[in-house]
Parts: sequence; structure tokens; C-alpha cells
Amino acid sequence: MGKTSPITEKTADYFILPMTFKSFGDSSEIISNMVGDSIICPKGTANRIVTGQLETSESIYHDLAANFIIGQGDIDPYTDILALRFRTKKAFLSEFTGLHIFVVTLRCNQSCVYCQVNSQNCNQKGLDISNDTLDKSIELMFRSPAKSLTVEFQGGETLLAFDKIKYAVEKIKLLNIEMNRTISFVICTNLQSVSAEILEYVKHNNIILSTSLDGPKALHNKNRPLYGGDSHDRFERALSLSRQHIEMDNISALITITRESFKYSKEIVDEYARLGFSSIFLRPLHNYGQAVQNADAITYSVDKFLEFFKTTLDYIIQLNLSGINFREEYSSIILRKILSPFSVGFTDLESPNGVINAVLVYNYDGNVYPSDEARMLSESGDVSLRLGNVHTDTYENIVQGEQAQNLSLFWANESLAGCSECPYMIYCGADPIGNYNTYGDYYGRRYNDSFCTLNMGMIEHLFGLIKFSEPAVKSILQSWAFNSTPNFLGEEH
Amino acid sequence: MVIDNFTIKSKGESTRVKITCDYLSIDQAHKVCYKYLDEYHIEISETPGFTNVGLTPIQAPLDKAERILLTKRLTNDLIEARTREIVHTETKNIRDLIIAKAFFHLSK
Repeated sequence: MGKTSPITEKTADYFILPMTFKSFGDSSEIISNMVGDSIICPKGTANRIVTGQLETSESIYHDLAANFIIGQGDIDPYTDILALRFRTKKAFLSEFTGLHIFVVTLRCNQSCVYCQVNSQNCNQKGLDISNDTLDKSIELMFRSPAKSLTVEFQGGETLLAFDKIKYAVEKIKLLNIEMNRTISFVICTNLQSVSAEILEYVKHNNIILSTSLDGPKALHNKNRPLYGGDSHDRFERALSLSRQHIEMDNISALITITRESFKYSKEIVDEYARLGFSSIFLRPLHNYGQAVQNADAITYSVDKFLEFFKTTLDYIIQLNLSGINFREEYSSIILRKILSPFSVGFTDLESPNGVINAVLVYNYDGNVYPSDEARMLSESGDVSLRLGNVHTDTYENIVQGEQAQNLSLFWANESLAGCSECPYMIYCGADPIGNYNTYGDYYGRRYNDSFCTLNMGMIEHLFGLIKFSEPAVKSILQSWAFNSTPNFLGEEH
Repeated sequence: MVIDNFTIKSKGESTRVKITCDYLSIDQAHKVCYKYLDEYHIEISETPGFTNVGLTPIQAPLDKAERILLTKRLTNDLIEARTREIVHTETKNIRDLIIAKAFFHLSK
């Protein structure tokens, strides 16, 4: 039997830098390094690299060297540069928890088919956060060392407890005179009970509104029924009113995609554009709360979602080619990770994951959770992901306690089987809470995992578009990554 | 099938893989097997100089065409794993150095 020798026993004039690789289509493979440089090259290239077969006369040699896959000469300059770039990629960790979610009420005036927090009727008592719980939660938030804090109010429907939002905003502003942080406020709302008075307060305090739009009227009303009214009509009127008071950029919308949405790929995008939004965030349904109860009617396989994602993305690209500036946000995040050297800080797709590192959730009942998904599980009766309670636990107990330490063992994809040798690792993330929801443990199973299949499918599709598309499409994708204008505009294509 | 340092043979319902230890470590063999866990019961054992892997389908036994496909898949995965192991061995110190340099400032 033959024997393969490592490169160190050969006379190659290069050394290997840390890298991973994977097949890409039938005849190519993708090789990437730990800071996100990547190259799509002929299949077998990784094997040629490690067996010392590359020649300096080959163009691929220089491409690999330029992408820090191989190096020559002194190792120190390489480690200095890669260390700096690795630190840049992980810069989202430098400030610790920046996003603080306050669940001000569990009451809601809609009955969405996928409600992930099992919201309750708007007249029910005892489901609003108390001022005392808000005080304690705000106190804990200011223990975070982050210089920039984002305060996000979630529900239920937050505007049903607008008095609690006002109380929290005023309290935070008062305390911040001494704390001196940069504070951003976000209210997540369905806008159904918005008023001019509320909007004036929102405007005065530079608060961002994050709302929900599932698409054209038939789809929106089916997914998001309103107690005693037409949800879409009310939404459209409320959006119009909101824009009379606050700037366009201060209102964004999120879509939740159900099986029904698959019938409306183009119409969803058209509806977003018609209502003045310049982007859409194509995120799959998360299986929590009512989404589990109604699974037979609304859920779908990852493959079906990927098919929908690709079709819709293709339509959005066509819109851009026709001169309409519109972007898909999930793609923009992934493209930024692929094409730019910077940290993105999107909590769902980072390693370490954003739980505790980037997000803490203060529930209306005083319980603190490591993510909104953990809070969603608690509303279905599983409170085992609770980090503590604002009334009984210290900040240290919450962010460094046993639960936090358990999570930390599984929140980095660098240490997970199936992730650690994946070339997409640096663009992807770990999902310990999703793993817990699916498998009952934080570790998960990459060999049949929907998070892995989904993100790998999206990342591979985007790599394919970057590599093989016409220049105008590449320019559009680059503009999404760098938040700029595509440079093909005005050119023929 | 016999390729260099490993052999893949069918035996009853199982597919048996015998890998020389100087070709692939048992740790790397575990990594190869990880992606088969959804479809096969896996057994891994060591004999002097060899790592032995058995794969038995969780569902119905494989037919002849499926066995050929499995052999091809295993062959590719083992060659890939060997390549990964060389990369890991040769770059482990570099990786550690990069991470240490990246976060050295935090220890000050």
C-alpha cells in the first residue's frame, strides 16, 4: 500500500496557512481561511496544496497566496496580518451585550398564525411589565460595559403598553445623564393601535419603529388576522400616518414567511416596494409557539424555503437591473461577511453566537433570557433557558452563571463537529438555542440540521452568484455588501 | 475496493472500512463518520495499526447500486479527511499563534 507524506517532507517553496475546503459543484472546490478570504478553484486543489504539488509558475499559486491560503518566506508577517484581521472579524465581541430587549407586555390585538410567543388577548390582566421590574431591568442593562446600547421594546403588541415604554425611555434618559452611553430605542409594533400622540413621542425621542408586513392584502390578512378588522388596511393607514410624523428610514418592516407565502414571491416584493420600503428580510419561520401548534398548515422544509429564497432573490436582482434600488437584507449580511473584512454583528449568525454576548431579554415577569428564542420557548412552558430574574439575581449571576457557562460550551462553531472544518464557518454562526429547541441539547446535529442546511444553501448560492454572474449582477451584490450604489447604473447590461 | 491506505468491503448488511493509522488518525475517522450518523449505525474500533469502521444502514439494507455509491462517497470523504488532517497538523501552531496575537491585548 502506498503512503502519503505531509508537505513538510517535501520541498515545496510555500507553507500552508490555516484553511478549510469543500466541493463546490461538480468540478470545483471552495477554499477559505479563518478571516474569510476565499477562492473557488478546480477540484483537487486542496490536495495539491498539501501534497506540495503547486508550482510558482501556475496562476492558481498566486491566487492562493493573495488569498492567504499559502505563504512564502517568514511566517511572522502572515500571523501579524491574519491576527489583526481575525480580531476585526470578531470585533462584535469587544463591547459585550449591546442589544437589550424589554418585553413590555404579552397582550396583543392580533392573532398571528405563527405567533412565536403565544401572545394573549389584549384585555387580559397581569401581562404587562411592572415599573419595579422595568427599574431592575434597566439597572441590569447599565451594568453592561457596552458604550452603545440598543433598547428594543417587544411584545405582545408593545403599543398596548405604551405607558411602560414611556416610563422606560424617560428612566433610561435620566440615568444616562450619568452613565453617558449612546442609546438607541426601537419599538417593535404591528402599528394597529398607533396614534398621532404616540408618533410625536416617537419622533421627539428619535425612536425607530420596526413593524411587520407579510405581503399583499390576502396573504397579510391570512397570516396576521386582527380582532375585529382588516389587518392590512389598518396597517397601511397606520404606516401612512407614521410617515407623516417620522422619517422613512426610521420605519422598517419584517416579514414572516409561511407556506402560503410561497404563492406570492413577486407580489411580496412588489408590496414592499409599493409601500415605500427599499429592502426586505427573507427569513424563514422559526418553530416556536403557535408556529409549532399550526405546523401542519404553515411550516415547510428547508429545501422549499431555499427554492423560494432563490426565486425571490432573482426577482429582486431583476428589479435592480431595471433601475429600482431594492435589497434583500439576509443576503446583504452574508455578502458583507464574504466580501468585506469587517465584523457584521448580526446576532443570529455569529460565532460566538449573540446569546448573552450581544443580547439579553428582560421578560415582563422579570425573568431574563439569553435570546428572544429562549423567551419564546418559555412562553410555551419551557423555562429551562432562563438565566435568572431581575428581582433575585445579580448581573454576575445572570451573565456568568451556570446557565451562561453551559451555553458558552456550544456557542462557537469553531468547536462544533460538522462546523469546525466547513469553509463557510467564518460567514456562518452557531445556534445553541435552536439546537435545544430541535434536539433537546445545545450541541445539535449538523448532519441533519435545518440551520446548517439553510445557511449553507444560502451562502453557496450567493458564492455562485458572485463567481458566475454577469458584471452588473456582481455590482448589485457588492453594493448590498458595502451599502453603496451599484456602479453599473447608467451602463448598458 | 482498495485504495492506498484504506479498504472498503461489504459484509452482510454492513460496509466495513479498514484504515491504516499512519494514513488517518482515529479522531479524523470519527469526523468522517459524523456526517453518516443520520443514515447509518456506526461502529469504530482499533486494532494494532488500523482503525476499523462499520456502517450499517438504519433503514433498509443497501442494494448493489447503493453500495457502490456508498463506497465512492466513503472514498472521497477519506481522501478529503486525509487532506484535512495534513492541513490541521501543519497549521495548528500557526492557528494558535494567530488567535493568541489577535486577543493578546485582552490579557493586559
